[in-house]
Amino acid sequence: MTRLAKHLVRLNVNGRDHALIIESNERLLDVLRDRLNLKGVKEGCGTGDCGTCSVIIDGRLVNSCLVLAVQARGKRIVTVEGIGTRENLHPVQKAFMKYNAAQCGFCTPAMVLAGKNLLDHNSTPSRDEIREAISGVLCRCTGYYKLIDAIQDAAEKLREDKL
Amino acid sequence: MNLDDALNYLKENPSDTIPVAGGTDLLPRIRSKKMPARKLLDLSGIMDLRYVKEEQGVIKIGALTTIADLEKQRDSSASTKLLRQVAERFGSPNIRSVATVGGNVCAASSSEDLIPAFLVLNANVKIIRKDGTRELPFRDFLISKRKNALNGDEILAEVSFTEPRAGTACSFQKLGMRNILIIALVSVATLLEVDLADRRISSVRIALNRLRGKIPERTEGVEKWLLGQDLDQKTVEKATHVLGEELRLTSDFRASAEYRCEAAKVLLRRALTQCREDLLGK
Repeated sequence: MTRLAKHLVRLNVNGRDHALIIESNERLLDVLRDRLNLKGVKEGCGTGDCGTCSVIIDGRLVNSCLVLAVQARGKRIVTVEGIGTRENLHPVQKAFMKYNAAQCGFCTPAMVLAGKNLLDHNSTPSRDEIREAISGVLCRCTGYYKLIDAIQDAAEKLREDKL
Repeated sequence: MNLDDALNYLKENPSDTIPVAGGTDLLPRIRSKKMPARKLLDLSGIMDLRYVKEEQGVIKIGALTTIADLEKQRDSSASTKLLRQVAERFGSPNIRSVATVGGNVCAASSSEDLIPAFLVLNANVKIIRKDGTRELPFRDFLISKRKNALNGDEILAEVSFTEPRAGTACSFQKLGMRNILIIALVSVATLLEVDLADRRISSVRIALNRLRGKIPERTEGVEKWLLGQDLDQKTVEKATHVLGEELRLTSDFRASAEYRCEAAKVLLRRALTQCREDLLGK
């Protein structure tokens, strides 16, 4: 069996620079979870269908199971760990708590990121735009109404904060 | 990695390298062992091949343009509207941010939503290698399921087509088990041009994701029948019957042949009706 090539890869994750030695076939998902210990990134299907491994790369929501870590070289990556702290949650996280928008919690980190990424680009999304933005992440327990309510509420909060 | 580096590498390693762009199709296939894990050549950072531009009435789309880029195109030409319709039903927003036009086309199967659209746009492809360039009609680029016309040292650089004339309407219809994140059971792309003086169809191209085999094809029988017809509801109905005669579909785990046939007829009716409404009003 041929040995896989190793690469020195610099990744900016949640605002911090990391220099990592990465094998060619390592997925970004595995590097984030196993090397950087960011367990908010979940593996559901591993084939790009469920979206629970979503992260934000350079302002776009992406399934980290479909990206090789070497392909993320030099990019800015945001996981759920990077958008708020326990003391100072992101408005989307606060709204998820207010609306009980989580049940088992497995899709929640990805849903929060999908909501945050939408609000970064669109401060006044319609319900349809919210549906569209979270459509790549599957939730199998709560359904989607509370998620949409929560993201809409977070959008209002963010707009008020800006005033 | 720039384009020259990539072409040099492929020239040196033509037999055991797979170029990868978005990776949304390739990575799961490698992991599930449907494909051997050979050397991968990452093209995703080559910005030279990421563009949508118009030159003298010809629309040129770089192979590394993402599906999200297509979705963002806002002009109201028939082709832009068609490609946007495809993009909006493509995978999920997460997939669309990385999946590329070239990757979709090169995968050459009935689940690649852009292929029927490029077939009706009568597109051409530009293929490059270290020592040259060649162009092919899009339909010759597809050889068979999962097989395209690229040699080991080549990559797909561009898909281009002449912008359809004014008085042309296009439509893309796709049916799956849900709206997002589905592989099409049936998809239909149509392009229709009407002589506005007498409402007769002066040019027509229709492609389905499956017709007789397992790759997208044009439906020559229906096209031939439609040419010169009045674009009215009766014609639309008759066209679906002609399609029924032409279909040679097979069953698989996703759907039976009978279901696919009925669905194909319904989608053709919807696509032609949308074109008719775009051209002649409701």
